[in-house]
Amino acid sequence: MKKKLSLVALILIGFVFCLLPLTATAGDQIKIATWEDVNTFDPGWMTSGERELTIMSCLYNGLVKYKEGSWEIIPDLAESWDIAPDGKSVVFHLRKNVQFQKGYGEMTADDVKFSFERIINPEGKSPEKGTWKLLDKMEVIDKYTVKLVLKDKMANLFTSALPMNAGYIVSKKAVEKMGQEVFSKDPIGTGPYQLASWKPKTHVELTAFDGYWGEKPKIKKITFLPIVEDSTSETALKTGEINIGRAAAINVASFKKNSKFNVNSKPALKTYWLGMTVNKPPFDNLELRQAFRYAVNVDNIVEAAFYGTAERANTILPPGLPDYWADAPVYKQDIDKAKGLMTKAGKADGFTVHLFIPSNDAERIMAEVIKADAAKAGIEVIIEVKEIGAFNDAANKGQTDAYIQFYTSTIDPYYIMQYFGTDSWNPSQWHNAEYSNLMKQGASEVDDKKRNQIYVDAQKLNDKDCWAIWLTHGTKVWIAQDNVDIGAIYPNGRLTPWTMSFK
Amino acid sequence: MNTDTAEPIEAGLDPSQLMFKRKWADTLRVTFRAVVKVKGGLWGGIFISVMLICAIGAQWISPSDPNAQDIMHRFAGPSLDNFFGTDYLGRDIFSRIIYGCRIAVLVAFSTVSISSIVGVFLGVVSGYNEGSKLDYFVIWLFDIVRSFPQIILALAIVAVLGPSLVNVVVALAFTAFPFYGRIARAQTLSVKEADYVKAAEAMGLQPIKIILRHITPNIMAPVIVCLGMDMATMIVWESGLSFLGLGVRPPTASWGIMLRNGYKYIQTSEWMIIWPALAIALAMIAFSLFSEGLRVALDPKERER
Amino acid sequence: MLKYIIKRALWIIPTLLGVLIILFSLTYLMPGDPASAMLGPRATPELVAELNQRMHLDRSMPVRLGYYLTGVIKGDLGTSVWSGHKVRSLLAEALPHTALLAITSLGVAALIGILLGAFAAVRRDSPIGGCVTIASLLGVAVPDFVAALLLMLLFCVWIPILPALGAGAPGDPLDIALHLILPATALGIGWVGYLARLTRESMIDVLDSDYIRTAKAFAVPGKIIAYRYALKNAVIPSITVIGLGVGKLLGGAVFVEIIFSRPGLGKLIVDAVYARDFPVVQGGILVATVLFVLANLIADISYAFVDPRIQYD
Repeated sequence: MKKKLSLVALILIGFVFCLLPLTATAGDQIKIATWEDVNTFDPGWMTSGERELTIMSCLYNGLVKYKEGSWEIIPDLAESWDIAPDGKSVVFHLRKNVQFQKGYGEMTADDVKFSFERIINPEGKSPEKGTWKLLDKMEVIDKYTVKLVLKDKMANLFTSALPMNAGYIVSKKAVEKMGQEVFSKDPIGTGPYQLASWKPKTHVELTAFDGYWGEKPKIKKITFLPIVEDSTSETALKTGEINIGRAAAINVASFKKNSKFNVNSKPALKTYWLGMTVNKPPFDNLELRQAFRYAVNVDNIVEAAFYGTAERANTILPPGLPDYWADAPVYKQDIDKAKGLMTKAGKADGFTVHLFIPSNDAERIMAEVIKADAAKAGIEVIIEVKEIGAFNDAANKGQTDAYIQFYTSTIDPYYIMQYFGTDSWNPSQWHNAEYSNLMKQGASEVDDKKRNQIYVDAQKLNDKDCWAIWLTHGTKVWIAQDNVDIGAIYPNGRLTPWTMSFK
Repeated sequence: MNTDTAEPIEAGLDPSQLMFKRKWADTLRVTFRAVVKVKGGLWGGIFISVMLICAIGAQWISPSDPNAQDIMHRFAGPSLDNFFGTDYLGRDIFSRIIYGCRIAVLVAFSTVSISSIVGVFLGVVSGYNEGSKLDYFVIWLFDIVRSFPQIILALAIVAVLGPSLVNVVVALAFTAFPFYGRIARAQTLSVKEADYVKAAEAMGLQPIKIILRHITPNIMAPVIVCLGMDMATMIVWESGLSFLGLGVRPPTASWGIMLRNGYKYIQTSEWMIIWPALAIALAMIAFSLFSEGLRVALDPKERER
Repeated sequence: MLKYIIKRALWIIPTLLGVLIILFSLTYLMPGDPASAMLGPRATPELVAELNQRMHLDRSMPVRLGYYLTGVIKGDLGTSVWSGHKVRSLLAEALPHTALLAITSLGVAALIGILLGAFAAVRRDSPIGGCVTIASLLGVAVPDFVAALLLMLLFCVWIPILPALGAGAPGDPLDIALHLILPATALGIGWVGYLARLTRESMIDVLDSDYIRTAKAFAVPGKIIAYRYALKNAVIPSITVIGLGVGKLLGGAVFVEIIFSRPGLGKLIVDAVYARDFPVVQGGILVATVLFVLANLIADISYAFVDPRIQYD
């Protein structure tokens, strides 16, 4: 009896080990680890770029798009366009015979008009209506010609409004037939992939669209797996369960050394900053803000949190953006200067700062380093870790003394700079009339040189008023298995799954 | 249950002392017997004492401050400076394990105390008033709370109250009190028919005094056995809740939080997982052995084996 | 007997009512709102208000409770705030995975455990008995989520041979089985030892009892005695333990599913708590509770059937 049992056990174990190679993913499918699950597939109602934009760019096309791997604008659904001399309207000539997915017919000017006007319709409560606040209306001229009419010149029309999700074209027939709620789960676009299935918090499966008007993608099935923990992504890469994923900054080096993987890194377009709330003590005093800026050691902070994979930031915009202020001052730690400023402000004995952070590792490490360094100047930092909902709440209401925040830019500086200094998102509660003015001008200035000056001036104001200490722009690292060609990657690290293939 | 004689449930007690026994002396005596007579219980007891010493004397025993970071020496392996290595912020794991004892012991003792006191009280009172509206209400309450799978209820409560040590204790105690209640009530149902209780009633003793002096001490045996294992379970659940981020708040050093961090860095340093896992396992073994000893010491039938 | 069963079954109704009240109060009191979580840092009060309105979260508590209860009676458990999918369908997708996990771990644990325990009882003088006791102690000592972490460390990190993610490609039984190995082992480890010891002890009791001795006296072969009479009676405590164990399994499944990123009821509930997706939290806990209550009911009733020696009020 004993002998028989052990024999059976041995056979079973052997069987299992023979099956192990099967866990590697099969040929025509690529699995990609994303951070979080998506909320919606409706491009006009996108809640978070990090979560949804990559997938939306597989499902939909816009009138124009960024050429894969760069920020150059090239035609997409619009073959050509004519900009009016006053800059307040554009006529688009649409491509013919572009089919929507799942049998919803041909894309025409009606769909274009529908896609834009549903966003600016106040009843729809679209979170993207701010993007199109300068849009007056869309006029259908004929089946393949549509005119976009603006209220005023829009500087970022082609740079960040049209090529991103707010400019994607949806099927009017589909939205009207299904209703918006169902459409957000069952998207119909003209893009190279269509939605095969979405199991919330489990996976998003896309399959190649046979009727796609453009170059068909090589990979027939793309699966996005929401993986919140870096370590899970690392483990899944090593066991072969996913083809493309990420790793914690500290482990990137070991993947680089491993010949089974290829590491692609791009400087991210994020900005992490240490913000200060300027409408209450202690940081209502400019000198104390400046003191804090001299007390902390940004190089230390970035090195600790990113393990040498990221560079420090000296202004809100990442380098590589057209209006980047290259001459921004680099503040090194200077405890003496800090103490001097504190004495001038009457706080020679030090003061207390309640630093709020969300419960992410990078922020935690940064906060601890800040605390240790600030203590050298006599500033006591009390770290308040909040989970993300409570953090955003406290930050937006100005309940913090200081906070660590990050945001992701796009190619257009307006995208990130439009907040702050105004009444929309403004966690530092910083109000500056000159800054608001500059923002308004920048939004409609189409001359590159003039716009450049406007945004540089705005960044100088940030520096002068010192409402934030810039930390880093982060790095986007993608790790792919050796047999995967990861395709083109945009300068900010966004993937283009339709350009992927197996080597 | 033997109800037709006044045979005491706790062995080793002189029947003549029945009416005047004090609760605590007997409990202590039983515990002592469990520890000494049953070898497993002895080892369990020793380890628990070690945990208690670590918990109370953490400041003196631990070699470093558990929250002292050394960002430049993160993820170090075991060494003379750091017996168990360092974690993702460079903190000494050994010190954190010792301080983790403190959290474990705190959680174990406070949750078990609260839930047993509340549970036993409700159970005895309701059992003594068997059949009354109060009894039905209390049973209903017990059954409702018992219907939830315990850990799920606990995590929902902590999600409402917010993660913190106090809220973890409250949540865990809330999920556990019905168990003590049911045991207490079941025991009360039989004990209240005993001669000595009837005698006390006949003498006109107030119900509250009857409950406190005569009934409660006699029902404590199964409760005491539960206490031991329950403490172990509570330690595990606090770890679990902290692992989910719904327990103690960082940077407090609890074994559960250490496991959570270890999971996040499982590819970087296995030491962050191994030590707290070992600590939890040993604590569980210790409490299991100890409560086994208690059970054996309390059960006259077992002692014959 | 029948009276007992009916009484016992009817008692579920007021109990579940109390459960619903507590459940709804808990989710109502949970702080934070899903809109902020979804919008991230851009969550200005205006955008949050709009999102809340779109998700019908701005009505008062009694109104929402009313909607909820009428929905539950109709079988509609609401709509997920995060994804817009119906809670009912999310649960329907998640439950089979948890059930598969539970059945596999319990089944394998029971098989191994009961056999081991029987073996140890029959050969009680051999060192196997001591080994079983030690193994059972170890098994109980390592809680499921700690076991899961250690197993992941061993077989996914140090020797990356087993999958660490998900439930496997649907329709591919081999892949599914592979993905079950580690989670089921983690969940089942505690049970193997426990059931082994339980079986061993009850079998020893039974083997010593009179009617077994009589059978032996009549020269009924030893093996038959062991495996037919003693085992059957010794399985009784295991049945009831398994019945109550559904609650422990659900609790353990929560951790194992999170650690191995397996879809299932536990992961559904915890993810929903993190995202403040209240309808899913409520629906998930409700289903878990109902399952637990039913399991206890069945256990109580079957205990009554199986062991006629028990008396009831």
